Parts: sequence; structure tokens; C-alpha cells
Amino acid sequence: MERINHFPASGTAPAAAGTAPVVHYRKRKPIVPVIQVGNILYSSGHGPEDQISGTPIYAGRIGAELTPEEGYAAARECGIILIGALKDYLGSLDRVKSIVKATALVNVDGDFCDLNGVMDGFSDLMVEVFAERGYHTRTVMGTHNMPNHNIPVEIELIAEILN
Amino acid sequence: MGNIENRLKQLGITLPEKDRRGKGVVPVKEAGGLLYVSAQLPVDENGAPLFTGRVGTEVSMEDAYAAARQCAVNALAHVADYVGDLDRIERVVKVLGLVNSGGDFSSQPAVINGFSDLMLEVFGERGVHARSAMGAYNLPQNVPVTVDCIFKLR
Repeated sequence: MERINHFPASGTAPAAAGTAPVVHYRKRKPIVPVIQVGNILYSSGHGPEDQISGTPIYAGRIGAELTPEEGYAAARECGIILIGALKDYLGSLDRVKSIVKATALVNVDGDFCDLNGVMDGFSDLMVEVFAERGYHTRTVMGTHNMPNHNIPVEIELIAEILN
Repeated sequence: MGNIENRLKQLGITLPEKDRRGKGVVPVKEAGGLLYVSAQLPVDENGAPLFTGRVGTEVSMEDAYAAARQCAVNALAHVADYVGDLDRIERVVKVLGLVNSGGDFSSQPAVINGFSDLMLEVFGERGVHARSAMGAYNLPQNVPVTVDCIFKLR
């Protein structure tokens, strides 16, 4: 039986990372990527950043510097990095019972309001990787300023895990 | 390949590929005795926005309040659909209200009261909740308000 411990290839992954899991998290002292309470995991907000150097893979506002397609790719990248955080914490992604909730901040300019289209980059990935277990509730909001040279998307999630 | 997949193969049955793209979002998800509800938009039964624009510049306070109330109605509809009977809701836990804000608008809490007031009217004391209200630069489909919430199940 095929396992889901398989990292989706991404054309926009950090340079030369190929399909290797992203495991090297920058050390931000009081902030951790994932916290467990009971069977629930809470993640920090994750942006499309190289997980070793911290360099943004995408920077700028969607509707100005970036296209909606780049926004979609950035949201997908956030999803890959979040799956990396879960794998890092759990050891095996088979322990993920379900993705419960995702909250996304999307950096937009002007009248751009297809926020759902951008966030689909994340949601499509969750379903491709976890199938039904990847179905989640979602909140997406447009913002105008973001950390780290104005990254375009930041996503946090809540997941339920198996004992 | 698992046993069942082997059986299918022996029977010469190939399962059709399923297009799962764009189907990852559900209105309600249960985990650990809590119901998480996706951000609700002020939309009618066909999904068309009842209000659009930024509050403070294009949308009045009254319309924004009504939009937040509509978000509450839509949230309850999804929850009722999921649990069958709203009596199974022990209490409203947490609400996050986002207001598409223009100019110097800063009365986001008064807008989200449209949501909170309905929860109190419907659930009484069980409708009292923790809440955050914040201004957003834009929201999906340019609606003035979205609200997500967490309920506790009995």
C-alpha cells in the first residue's frame, strides 16, 4: 500500500532541494514551528521561505509585483513547508489524522480580491497529499504588509493526529 | 499494493482518476470535541455576495452589521447541517471577524457585533464567546465582512 510519506515534487522548491523533505528550520528562540496539545497540533505561520537561509522564495504583493499564478505557487510552497514541519515533528506523516483548519494571510494590492484562488494552491496540495484527510476549513484574508521582505502569503494550520 | 487493490487488479477493474483539485475546503470540521467553521461570507443561498466593498468608504455601518449577521446565519446553517440538531452545541467558543476596511475606519468590533448579537439571541448564555475583530486590506470576492468561529459540541 502506498504511504503518504512522500514529498510532492515542486518546481519552485528551494534550490537543488529536489524532492527532499525540508527539515532545517531556522532557530527563532521563543517560537517553534509546531505545538501539540492533546491530539491537536498548532503550527506557526509559515511563509514561502528557504528553510535554511530564510530567504523568501517569493516577495511582493499579489496584484502588483506578483501575478495570481505566482500567488498560487507561493501558497503551494507554504503547504510544502508546513508538511515538512509536520513530518519533522511527527516523524511519519501517516500520523496525521486530518488537516482541521488553515488560516492564510495574503499580501494584496489594489482591488485584487481573488484570495480564494491564491489559497487554492495550499488546499489543492493538501488534498493531493492527504486525500480526504486533507479536507480542511479555511479562512483567507487580504493584508497589505508582511514580514521578511514582504512575502506574499503566510499560512498557519491546525491538524489532528493519531495517538 | 494492498489486498483490495490486488483483487481489483485481478478483476481487471481500474478505478477512475478523481479530480480532487479545488475540493479541499469544507465548511465544518470536527476535531477534539470542537467544530471548526470556515470563514463565512455574507452570501445568499446561491453563493452570490449580498454586499461588496470596503467598510468606511463604500459600505455603511448598517450594511456591514447586516453582512456580519448574514455570516452568522450562514455559519449556523452549516453547523446545523453537520450536527443535525443545534441543541448539540454546548457553546460558542471563539470568533474571528475580518472587516474589509477602507480609509481610517476603526469600528471593526461594532461591525462584528452583527455576528455576536445573533449568537446571543440564538444560544443565550451559551452564545457568549471570545472574539477578535480586525481590519483587512481585502477579502474574498471583495465582501465587506467574513467571520469564522469555533463551537464546542456536547
